[in-house]
Amino acid sequence: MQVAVIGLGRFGFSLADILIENGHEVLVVDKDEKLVQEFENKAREAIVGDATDESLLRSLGPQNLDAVVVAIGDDVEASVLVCISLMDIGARYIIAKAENDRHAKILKKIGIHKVVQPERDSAKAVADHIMHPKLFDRFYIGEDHSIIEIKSPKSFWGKTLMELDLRRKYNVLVIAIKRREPMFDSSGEIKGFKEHLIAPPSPNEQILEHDVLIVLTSNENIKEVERWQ
Amino acid sequence: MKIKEIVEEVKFYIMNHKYEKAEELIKKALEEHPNNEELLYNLAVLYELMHQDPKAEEIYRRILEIYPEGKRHKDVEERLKRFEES
Repeated sequence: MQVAVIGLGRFGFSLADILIENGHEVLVVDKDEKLVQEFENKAREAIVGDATDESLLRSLGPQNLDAVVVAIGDDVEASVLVCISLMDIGARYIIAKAENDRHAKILKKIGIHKVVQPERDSAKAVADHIMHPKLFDRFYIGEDHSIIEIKSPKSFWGKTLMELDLRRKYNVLVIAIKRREPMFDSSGEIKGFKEHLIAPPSPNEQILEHDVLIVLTSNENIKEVERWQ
Repeated sequence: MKIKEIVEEVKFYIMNHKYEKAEELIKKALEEHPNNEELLYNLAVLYELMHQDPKAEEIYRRILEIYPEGKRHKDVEERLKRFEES
């Protein structure tokens, strides 16, 4: 994919880095020459300049890119200006970083496709981890539901999903089972493991020791799920 | 019981997803041979199989500390890479 990252603060820098690492073509823009230099040999283009300058934005050809990320957080005015210009030029997909709720609200109002608040999002993830220590992972689905990853309790081991009947008993749906299988080398010695996903599991699928369950549940039900033993 | 026999039994339990039983067996054997490389390695992989990655990592590091040039050092280094990448 072709992506432009405007603003090489902590967020923009990491984002550009990850995209390049994963083989995407990235254009970076920042006022700070030193930061831009870091990308000189790996980005498709590394531009030193002020992104509020519309001619600079036009030169990026945002209408031909898969996404443009506006990672200017500390200067709300500049962030909004750049976003509006990108929309005027016809950028196909704009993602913008917001510094706070007010900034996020403005970006959403002007019609930015996706607004992110990295600090808030990672704080939310840490808070989740503290509040729900038994969850390996959590993805929010809409306002009221989540997909959670949780270790199967001992009482489930050896039973099939049909026998457990979790949908009726707890109003949750097991959408996948994450299982780790041992791997052996040619001489039969244990070497490591491979992980695979049984998705969607059949009702006859048996839960094995230490399987991880991926469960669709309402948020208010999570505490109940965590009490499984 | 010899360590080789214990490891064979552990492997049998692991292959059959009887991880709790395998853990019990290794821990008991480790009481007698606390620094045995093969037992420690099997325990570390077992913890990974049980989704207890922090415990596994701790044991891999311990193996590397005791046996920097041991029989399993390449395997251990490979396993540790996974934790560094994640």
